[in-house]
Amino acid sequence: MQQTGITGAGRNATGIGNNPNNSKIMVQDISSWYGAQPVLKEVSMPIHAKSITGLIGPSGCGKSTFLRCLNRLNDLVRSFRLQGTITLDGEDIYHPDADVVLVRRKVGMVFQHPNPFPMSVFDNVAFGVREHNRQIKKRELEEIVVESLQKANLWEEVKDKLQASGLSLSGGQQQRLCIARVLAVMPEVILLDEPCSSLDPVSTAKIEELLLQLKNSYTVVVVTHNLGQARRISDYLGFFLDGRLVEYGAAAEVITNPREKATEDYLAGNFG
Amino acid sequence: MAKKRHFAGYAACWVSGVLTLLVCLAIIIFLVLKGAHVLNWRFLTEDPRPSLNEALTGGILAPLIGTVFLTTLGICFALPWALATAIYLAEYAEDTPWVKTLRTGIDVLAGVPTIVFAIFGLAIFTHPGLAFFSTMVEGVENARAFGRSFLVAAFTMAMMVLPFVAKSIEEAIRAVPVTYKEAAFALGISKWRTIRMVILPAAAAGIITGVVLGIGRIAGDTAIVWLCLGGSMTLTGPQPWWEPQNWLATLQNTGSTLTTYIFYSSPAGEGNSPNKAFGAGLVLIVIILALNAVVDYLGRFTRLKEE
Repeated sequence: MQQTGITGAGRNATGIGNNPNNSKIMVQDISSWYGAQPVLKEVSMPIHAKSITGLIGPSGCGKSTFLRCLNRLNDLVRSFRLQGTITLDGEDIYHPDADVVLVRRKVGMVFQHPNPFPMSVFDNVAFGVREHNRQIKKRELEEIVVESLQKANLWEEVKDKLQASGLSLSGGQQQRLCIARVLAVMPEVILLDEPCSSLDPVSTAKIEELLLQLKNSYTVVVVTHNLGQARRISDYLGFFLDGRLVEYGAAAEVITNPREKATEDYLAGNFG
Repeated sequence: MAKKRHFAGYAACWVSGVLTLLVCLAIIIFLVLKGAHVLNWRFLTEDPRPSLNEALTGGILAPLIGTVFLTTLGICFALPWALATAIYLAEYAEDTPWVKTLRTGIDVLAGVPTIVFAIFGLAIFTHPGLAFFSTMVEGVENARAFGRSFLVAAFTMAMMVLPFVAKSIEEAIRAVPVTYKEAAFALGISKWRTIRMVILPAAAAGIITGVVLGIGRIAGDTAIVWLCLGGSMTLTGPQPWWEPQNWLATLQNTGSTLTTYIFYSSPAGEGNSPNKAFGAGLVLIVIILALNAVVDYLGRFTRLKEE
């Protein structure tokens, strides 16, 4: 599907200049507030294409807020304010001319608690596709739904109950349904906010396996509380503390040889 | 000491609970005792006929039809208005002085006695510019707009129920989990489409509850019917009313509802057929109880579906 640039201006030359490491998203010096309360403080980091970037840190460190900056979901909070720039493929997503709906189409999101719509399994996956293309043919739609459910490793479990309510599935299945729903609208980036925090170990393993498959085609950013998970799936790792990005680098490097004392303490389980 | 106080509270709760139930039951039992014996097929299918002899006063067909007309029309006017108000208040309104004024206005509207709405409606709709809402009464020279008709009464009813319906729909919209909204937004769906395709369907049961609440209030109101629909017992539009060419004229003319029928046939009001009045009261109560049962059923049904 051909998509125009999010600012309507197309890609600009300077945008590519901002993008030296072929990173998909470039976060430059962002600070944010809820009302007068600062949440993020001067955070800069690249997010590399076709890899998994893990974000770790204790509760309230701003990692979820950071994630929600990447698809502008924080716009839902009226008191939210942001400074700095975030570019997606070189285009500023907070630019006044940026089309926020298109940004969110390109940057999908999976939430902490599975939140399927109160519709059938089929409709949950078809919903976004139908909304984006109201004239879509039934066959085409069915193909996308099946393909998305297959990619989300859910097809085998739900192929006989596509008309059952999405809410009737188990927690782990619901979360994979939410992933299928995101995949169906063909995003380029997928954000996941502690996607396994309400799931059992078996479901968690299935989601992790799925994420490792997805990184071949998508840029994946995962907030996680689970250090083991961060270690198992991340290619890059960012450690947040008190609104600041304390440490960022290749995951293996950050885990085995952290530069900062705070990172080392957190990884050792001394706090958090 | 603590235990004693506990007991007092417990007893007070029980006593007030039982009292409430008793009052409710007493009304229903009283109406059944007084009114059930006039209920039969003819009572429901004959028009009222003015007569001093109660046995010859006919049935309640016209008031029954009038109640259906008025509630249907009234809620049709009120619903789009209330829905728009509720969507605005729940999803778009910010905390500005204008919105606070609007909310206060809605609260004030909810507290206005219906007789005030009635006289306001009458004052507005007797204006010659709005004459098309009602028709000339036969035999009255130069009285083009009499200002009373089903349309006039339905508009006035819509104003009266607007605050209740809008508030209950707003509650229903606010009760939709924010996670649905986040999920739709994160799929790149615009705010309006999210409201239209996700939030309103998820709030459907609450919206229907609001509608039924409004219908109940319209069906039970007397003051507005009395002033804005008038005092004729039967439909005054061209007959037969069910033929399409007469529909508009029927609504531009007057009639009665069960509430005004009770008033005009009861000795406490203007009539002399108390048994018929009790019979009509019983029918009205049954209709309102049935509506409540529908709401209850819908609430249960949607909860089950979601589980």
